[in-house]
Amino acid sequence: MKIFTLKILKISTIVLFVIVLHSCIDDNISPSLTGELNSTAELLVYFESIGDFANSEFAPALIDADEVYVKKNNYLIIDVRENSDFALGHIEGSVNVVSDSLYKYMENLDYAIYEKIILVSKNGHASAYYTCLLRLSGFNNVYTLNFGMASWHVDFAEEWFNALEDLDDFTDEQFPKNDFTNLPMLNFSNPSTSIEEKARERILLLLDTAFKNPEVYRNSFILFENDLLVCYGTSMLYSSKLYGIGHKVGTMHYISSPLYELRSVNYLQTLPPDKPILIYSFNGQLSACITAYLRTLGYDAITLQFGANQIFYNNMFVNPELAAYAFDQTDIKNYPYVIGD
Amino acid sequence: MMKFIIVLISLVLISLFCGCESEEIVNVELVYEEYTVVQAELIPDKRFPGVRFTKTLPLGVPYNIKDTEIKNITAYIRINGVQVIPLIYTEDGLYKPFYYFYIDEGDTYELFAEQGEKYIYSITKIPLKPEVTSINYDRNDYHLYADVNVKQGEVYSALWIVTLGNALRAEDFFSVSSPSNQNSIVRVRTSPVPEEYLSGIYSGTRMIQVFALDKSFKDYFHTRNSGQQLNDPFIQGTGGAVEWNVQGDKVIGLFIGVAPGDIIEVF
Repeated sequence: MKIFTLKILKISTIVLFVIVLHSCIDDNISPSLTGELNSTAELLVYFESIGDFANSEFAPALIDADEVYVKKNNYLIIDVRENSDFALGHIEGSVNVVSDSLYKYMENLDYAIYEKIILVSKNGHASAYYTCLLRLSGFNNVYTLNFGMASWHVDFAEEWFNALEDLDDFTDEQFPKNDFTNLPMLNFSNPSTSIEEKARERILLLLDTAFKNPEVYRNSFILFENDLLVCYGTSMLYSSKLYGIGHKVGTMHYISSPLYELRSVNYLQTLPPDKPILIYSFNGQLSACITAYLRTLGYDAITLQFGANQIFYNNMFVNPELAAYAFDQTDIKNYPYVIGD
Repeated sequence: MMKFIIVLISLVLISLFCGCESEEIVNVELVYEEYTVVQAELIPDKRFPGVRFTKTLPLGVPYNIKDTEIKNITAYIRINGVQVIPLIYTEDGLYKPFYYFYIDEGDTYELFAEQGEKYIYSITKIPLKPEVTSINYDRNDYHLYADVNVKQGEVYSALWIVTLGNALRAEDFFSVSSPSNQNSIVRVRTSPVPEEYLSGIYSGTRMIQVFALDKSFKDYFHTRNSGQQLNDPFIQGTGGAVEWNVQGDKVIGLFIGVAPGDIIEVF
């Protein structure tokens, strides 16, 4: 009996210990919420917080040669071509800053003292691309010379004239946008850094890799099997109605002004995050800008360099709205330029 | 041996009673902890209103929105698990989309936010407009009630409204009705209509409005501070001891989808 009682007591002791141990554990332990925001989403937040330039009426911030010529003493003119091209002829007073030095140059510049800062490239596309990147960095008084050096003097217009082309096989069929999908994934050297730093890192990377063929632009209309072809412009650019010509089979239309369909609240995320996206606009300057924006977000966007001018050039003159975007002799001002460094 | 075990058991029992005693000695000086308060009410077919991030103030500090607003939050909305919409700081702690957009019923909205090291998350589904199948009133205390077709993930509340002259309505929901597994219809009631609105001149002006709410509203309703003055049946400030449907360390609030039904005459 005594042994039995002892056993009972031993068991009771163990049970009590277990109760003591368990009952004192805090029942309110809830794991603290941890995580990271999506880095690409953070970039979107940042770009919209500073005005979402690429999706605004101000893009691509073109400025005509006439204005630059008249006000060249008030403006800072930055020629972003390679030094060898700069030496062949440039706007008097302009400084030569290639893309991988551009950000640092702007950072060290008291840029607010200039009424406007004008980026100049050979044909207007590289400067539109870099202008967009600088605007996305918060440099709000940067503009791009419309048609680049080609509009300054005919001596620099050869590439533009060689690009003008009329293709065939157009359609008016509507090709619906894809379903919404995730944003591209971006990796940063320090994932916990501020969104300003992330934006800076991303833009610096794109400036370092420059406006290159074929990664960033194509200078002829070549479509690969995996490409998504995007027409970025008004309905006139996409539809044959009112003297447009239509588009190539499979082209998806994203309206620029006035709907700005590549805004986050619209159809940005119907773009595929994992496929090349070849984008054309009227003359390639707006598409260069939106390409810069999309590449910053991690999309594999590529701009068709001369836009509709290298798809249906002659048809552009049938309609005054389209004609305004066609490059011709009237766009060339033949202003003086200087040779050498 | 027996004595030893009895002593041991006694020690254990003493440990049990003493060790588990709550150590929380309430000291008024130390009670205050700053919480981040998140507020958003998402109504279908209306513009997305933004999300307000504020902080609590210690007792005795006069309330001023400028003292409570939080400006250093990075936040965005994700719709249906895919579409990201940034939220940008405006004023008074309100973070709004840079471009307006409309809220669609049936969609899921998630809130992602970061405040320094603090990570904030919430999710809500926008309810469908409630389908009322019948309405009536209770003669005992003159509350109004309605039967509603239930939908998954939703709870229901109702307000009485008197539309004679300046429309008056109940200041708060009386209860939150959640569907049981068996029934496809749930009954939802208002608080009693005050006596002054029961006379004949109010006949034909007494209405009921049913609201469908994300199911997380139920927890909120049952835990909020009932002693506060009520101006809005949905957002009542910071009362309550749980985090409602917003997750995060020292974060409290409600990010809720709510679909108001039609205003229907009862009697």
